[in-house]
Amino acid sequence: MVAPLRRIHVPRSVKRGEVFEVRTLARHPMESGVRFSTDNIVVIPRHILQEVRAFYNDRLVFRAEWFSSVSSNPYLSFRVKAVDSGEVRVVWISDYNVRTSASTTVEVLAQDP
Amino acid sequence: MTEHSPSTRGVSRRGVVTGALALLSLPALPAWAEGIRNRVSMFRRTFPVQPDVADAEVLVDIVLRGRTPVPDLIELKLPVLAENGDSIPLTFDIRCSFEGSDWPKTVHIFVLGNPFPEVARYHYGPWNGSALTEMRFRMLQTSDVVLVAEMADGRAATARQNVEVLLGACGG
Repeated sequence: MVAPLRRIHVPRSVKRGEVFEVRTLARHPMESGVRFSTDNIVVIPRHILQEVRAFYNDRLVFRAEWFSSVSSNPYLSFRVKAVDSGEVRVVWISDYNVRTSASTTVEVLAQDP
Repeated sequence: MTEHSPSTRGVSRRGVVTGALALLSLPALPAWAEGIRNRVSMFRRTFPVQPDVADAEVLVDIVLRGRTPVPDLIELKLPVLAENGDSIPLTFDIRCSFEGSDWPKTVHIFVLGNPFPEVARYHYGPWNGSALTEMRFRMLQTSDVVLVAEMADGRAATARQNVEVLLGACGG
């Protein structure tokens, strides 16, 4: 079975004000633009995901700029503070400006009195 | 003589290419700036770039902009020895309160021994609550990994660790 193209995982429910982890995984070769082709003549052109943007309720909360040295099938996790229930959406932008995204919902519970 | 022999053409392909390159590089850059331009991987290229640690150090200095780095602000979790340079896990955290202007604006990651030393930039805001971030990157050879954090109040912090790579990633 082939792994899905883009994956995102957040905890199912968090308390308001709590910092939760967003884990993302993309399936991508991340060709660095440094390797030679098998006949050792041509440099394989760079093809990477160069930007990752994370939106929490349509507000940009985290942005990453990636360069040649990021591993293939890049894993990335970061933290966001819970404010309201809603959608967490992550968008990956490739060298050819192809945008792919994954989204999930997080439920924010009112803090205990 | 074949139809496509170079001698039958008025202008050789090599001549056209070198002429175009000469036109493109008209504003002569100093040698160190030329190196920096090769290290910056914002655009795609079709010729190989060799790693140069001294050039990479200049990139770190450019990000620091003469500021004195604050010690002990970055918490770095990185293996000392990596058997395979293809995927090296990196976890870092910034010791700050995320209140007022005490949060990191940008965190730069450099691997000094890679052809393109800049690995990633991460941008945060006060709404993050924590700068704990995980990623994986490639390393071509044994070298230093440098993190530079730029705080919202103008301070800068660095962390540096040497990683020994037994089998380097091709490229990096």
